[in-house]
Amino acid sequence: MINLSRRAMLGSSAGLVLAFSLPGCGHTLPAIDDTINLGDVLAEGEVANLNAWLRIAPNGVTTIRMGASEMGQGVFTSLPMLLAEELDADWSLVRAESAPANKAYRRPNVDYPGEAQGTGGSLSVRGYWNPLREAGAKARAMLVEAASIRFGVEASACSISKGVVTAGEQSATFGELASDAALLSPPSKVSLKKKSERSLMGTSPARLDLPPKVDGSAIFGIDVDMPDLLIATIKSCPHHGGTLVSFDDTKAREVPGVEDVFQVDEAVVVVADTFWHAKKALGLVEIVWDAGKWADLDDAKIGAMLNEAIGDGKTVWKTGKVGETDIEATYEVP
Amino acid sequence: MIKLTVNGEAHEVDVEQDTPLLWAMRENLGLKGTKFGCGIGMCGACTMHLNGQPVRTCILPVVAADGAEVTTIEGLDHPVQEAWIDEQVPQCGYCQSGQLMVAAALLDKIREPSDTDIDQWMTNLCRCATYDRIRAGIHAASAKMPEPPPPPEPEVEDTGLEDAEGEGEE
Repeated sequence: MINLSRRAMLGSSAGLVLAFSLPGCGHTLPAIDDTINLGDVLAEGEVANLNAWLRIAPNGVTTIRMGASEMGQGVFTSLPMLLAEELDADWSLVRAESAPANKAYRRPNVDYPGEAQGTGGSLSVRGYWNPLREAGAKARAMLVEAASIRFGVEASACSISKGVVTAGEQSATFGELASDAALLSPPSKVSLKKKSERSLMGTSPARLDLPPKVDGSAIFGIDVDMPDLLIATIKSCPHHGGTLVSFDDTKAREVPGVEDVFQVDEAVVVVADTFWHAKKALGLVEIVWDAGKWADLDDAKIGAMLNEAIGDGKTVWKTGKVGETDIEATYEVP
Repeated sequence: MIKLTVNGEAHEVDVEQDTPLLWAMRENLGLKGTKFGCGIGMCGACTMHLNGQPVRTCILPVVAADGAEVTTIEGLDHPVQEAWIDEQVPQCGYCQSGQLMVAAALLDKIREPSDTDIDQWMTNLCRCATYDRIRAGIHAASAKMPEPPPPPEPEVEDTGLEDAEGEGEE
């Protein structure tokens, strides 16, 4: 499944990539945005462009691109583990980074409208379970094949442990084999490890996303910058169902850097050159709201309405014996 | 023009004087490690050190920091950061710059803080609720803190008062 453009790219660069396509993903990816820097992802002499999940640098650093978003739930560790397990990688050399927006990285088991790189529903590990393990196993097979050619032995004579391929007296690291392996075709079918054969999955390694979260270098949405980026701040009616009657933006427009102030639905929007200018100006917009019919609605009233709707309710679960002491408790959701 | 020393380097920042220090650092100096949370000084995500003291910078006009020494998370080099990884403290990480700035200031002031000290100092909010691990991280960092330098030799000045006071207390 090697295409000419990738061969050309490999031939023209000093760095090494291990690339392979997933079924149905034979299209070209956009260039990787290397501003997302998780640790030493961009190791020396490495070229960063390929068309799937994985690249291996000459120094063995194995970078896995993640289609799911790391939001503290740990997918930048758990998902790489799926791939690294089948790859038999040296976990200490595994890095994770965000994949570019591309359907190659979509979560395959969820029917979003169109094809989306979505993260949610506690489904990331289940959703990427097979694609990432297969990606690891296919890459492993390519590395073994490259080693067998180099060593002059059958592939079956090669074994892998922690990123090193060994056959008898001969051995080579993934980093040393990656450029050769990248020129081979991935196998169409691979067998995956049985549960009893796994050594990484089922353990709890240190999270890969933490180093940039303790030195201020992690990039969050609010930190993204682009040339001539403008910032919008928005204030909507504080009452559910309320409406915007009028607003006076005279003072807001005096704030330096303000580009525009306008209405969107029942909200006022300020657009400015910086977040601070947009925030400050929004606070200076004089707004008249019509609170609408829910103006006096509060938690107590909502609770009363819900209780009235429930009435006497019904028993949904009954278990055990009733003892001498009655315990009564009320639980409310939300 | 506001003059500041930021992470050890002299800077001049050309902003309106009411600009909060947070935004002057983020938008004018490009130091985006410090985060914007509530904007009303309640959550602590925007904490920096101002002349060594932790302050919430989303409500601090930059003019109030004129001539001051500012340390942001980018300039922090403290055992507490390593302890944060050892104890796997962060989850999403958004509040952790602020948490670390307060924790570092606490440890610099109280080398072996008690849980009560930690409760009193660490009032920053964390939506992921990493509070237990923040506590563990501070205790772990405490063990990593370098030995304090020996106190300077007191200059001996015989006033005679010391003896008198000692006797008075007994």
